[in-house]
Amino acid sequence: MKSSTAEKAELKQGINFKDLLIKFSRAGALLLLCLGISLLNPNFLKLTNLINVLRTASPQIIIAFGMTIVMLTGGIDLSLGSAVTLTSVIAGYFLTQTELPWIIAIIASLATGALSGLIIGLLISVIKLPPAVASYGMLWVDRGLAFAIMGAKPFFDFHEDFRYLGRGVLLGIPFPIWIVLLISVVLMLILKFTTLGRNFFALGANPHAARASGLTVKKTLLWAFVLSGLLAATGGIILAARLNAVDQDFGVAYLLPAIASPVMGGTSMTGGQGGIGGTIIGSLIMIVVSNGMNLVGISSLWQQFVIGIVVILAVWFDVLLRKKS
Amino acid sequence: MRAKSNTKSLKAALLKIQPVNLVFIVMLILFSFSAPNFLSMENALSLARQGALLMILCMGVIVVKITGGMDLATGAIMTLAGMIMAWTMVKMNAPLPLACLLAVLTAVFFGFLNGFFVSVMKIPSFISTLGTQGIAIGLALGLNEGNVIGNLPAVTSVIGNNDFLGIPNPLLITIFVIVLSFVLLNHTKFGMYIYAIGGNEEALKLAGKPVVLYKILAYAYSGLTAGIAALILTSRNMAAQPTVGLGMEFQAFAGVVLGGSFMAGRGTVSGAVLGALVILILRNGLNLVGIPTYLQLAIFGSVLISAIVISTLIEQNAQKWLEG
Repeated sequence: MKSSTAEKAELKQGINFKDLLIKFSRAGALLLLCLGISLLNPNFLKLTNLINVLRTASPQIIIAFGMTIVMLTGGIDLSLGSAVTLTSVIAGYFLTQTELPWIIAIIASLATGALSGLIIGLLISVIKLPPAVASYGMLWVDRGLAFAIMGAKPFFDFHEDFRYLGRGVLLGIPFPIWIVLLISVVLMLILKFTTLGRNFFALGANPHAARASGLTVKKTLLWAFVLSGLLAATGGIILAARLNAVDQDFGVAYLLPAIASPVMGGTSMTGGQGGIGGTIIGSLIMIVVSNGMNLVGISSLWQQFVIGIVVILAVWFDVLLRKKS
Repeated sequence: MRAKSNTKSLKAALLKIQPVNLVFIVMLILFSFSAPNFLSMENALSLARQGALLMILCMGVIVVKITGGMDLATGAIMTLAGMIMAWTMVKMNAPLPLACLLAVLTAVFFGFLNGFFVSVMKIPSFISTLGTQGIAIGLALGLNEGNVIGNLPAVTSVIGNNDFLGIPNPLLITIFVIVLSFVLLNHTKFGMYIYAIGGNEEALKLAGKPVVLYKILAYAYSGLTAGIAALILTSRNMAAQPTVGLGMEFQAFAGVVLGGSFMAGRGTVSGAVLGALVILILRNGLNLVGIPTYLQLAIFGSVLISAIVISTLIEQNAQKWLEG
């Protein structure tokens, strides 16, 4: 027993160096992409453009954080895009159809996200459904509910204070970017220094061992999905605040990037490895790719085509990496 | 003693009833009361016409599901194949048979791609097929810049709208595909491998069996059914629309799972037919009552989840109940 742990530790040291290389290669790929695009369009690297790109992308990064946590436990949440739709529609409903203060809209939206995540977590941990099946079922429940609540007319024209969440500027930096920074620091601390955070990794790395060592699998899974639901709601709120409207196909386009971003950032699909920092880099790569497509003049109709290919290649790369190590 | 064994066999018989059968019967009763024209011959025929697409898609998805995979691309592949069919006829002046052939080949190719991603590149099936979904929809949108392709030659309507000996063509095609799936799954080596892969893929691999090949074939077959569905779809609408298949992959998935394919290695063609019928009748009934499409999808989602939850609970507690 002892020798095997020692062996593992040794193995880990060996991989660490390779991991470092791979990590740098990801950041390098991001830099190369940025440089390449700035050759095509010199405006890209201007600070105002970069900040604007980041501001637009902040919901996408936050949603990818949620997926990262779920992936760390070895699961997947296919409902994330629809959860964004539902939570933003809930916020829109409370903002425009009721006289309640806007903070209630935010609370309702977050609660909806958490509830949706909780249901998926229960389906997986109690009923033992595969994560893909449980979250795929919820995908359509969320999406359908969003449509049912909205009816034919979109919600728009929100309260000024609410819109600040998406459009405001604090100390020269757009408010959404502050939110991303805050959330990433909190999540990094949770993952690194709390039992819950370590349990996410343990559960993903070896579910049987985790169970045997007395880890409460149910609680860990529930937390992972509740967190991912909360983060989806946060993304939905920022998106609604920035666009000052919610519409029916709001979140759908976020699912594939949310899968690709963590994986490109080094979070393993099979769980146990990865983290928030990698997801930021992965998200930035995705964002730069789609931004670059716009700048080069590729019609937005082809975006799904490209993102589909990127997702498959990213996951394939992950599969190859795990196989070798 | 005898009474006890009698109740035991009664209990065992009760357990054999699939939840989907009960749902089916309850729905028939419910809708025939709440929507008066639900049980009319007219409605039954229109159900058969409209149901063709879903039923055909289910016949492919069930094969993938038995191997333990999810096929979330089938609606998108159907859409793309429909666009290809219309595009080759309208823009390239291809005759109908050639256009149909190209459409079906495209669909089979995309199914093949799915199979390749899953079994050769080892990408989880739901990600592979989501990726393919994106690729196929992207192509369908890009092909005609997001626009509908209309003005199809009049002869196109033969596939979806004509009758043969009084039976609507879509119904004939559906029956053909159902029989094909049944024969493939139950009476061929292909079917044997599909169930074996679902049962224990690793063991099969260790025994040196061509698992990779048969998995690819499973997804390619699902592509084929999507292609066949596309022919009916395009012919019935006399146009191809790049977003028409939205949500069909979910309806097919729900139908197959409701029909008893809860996990890898499980599922039958007859179950999938019944599951597809449940979704169809539910959809038809909800339409008659006037519930909009997206709320319908939410209802399918809830029905699906509850059905899985109930049958899992039944399974988990069946033994206890039988003995107690």
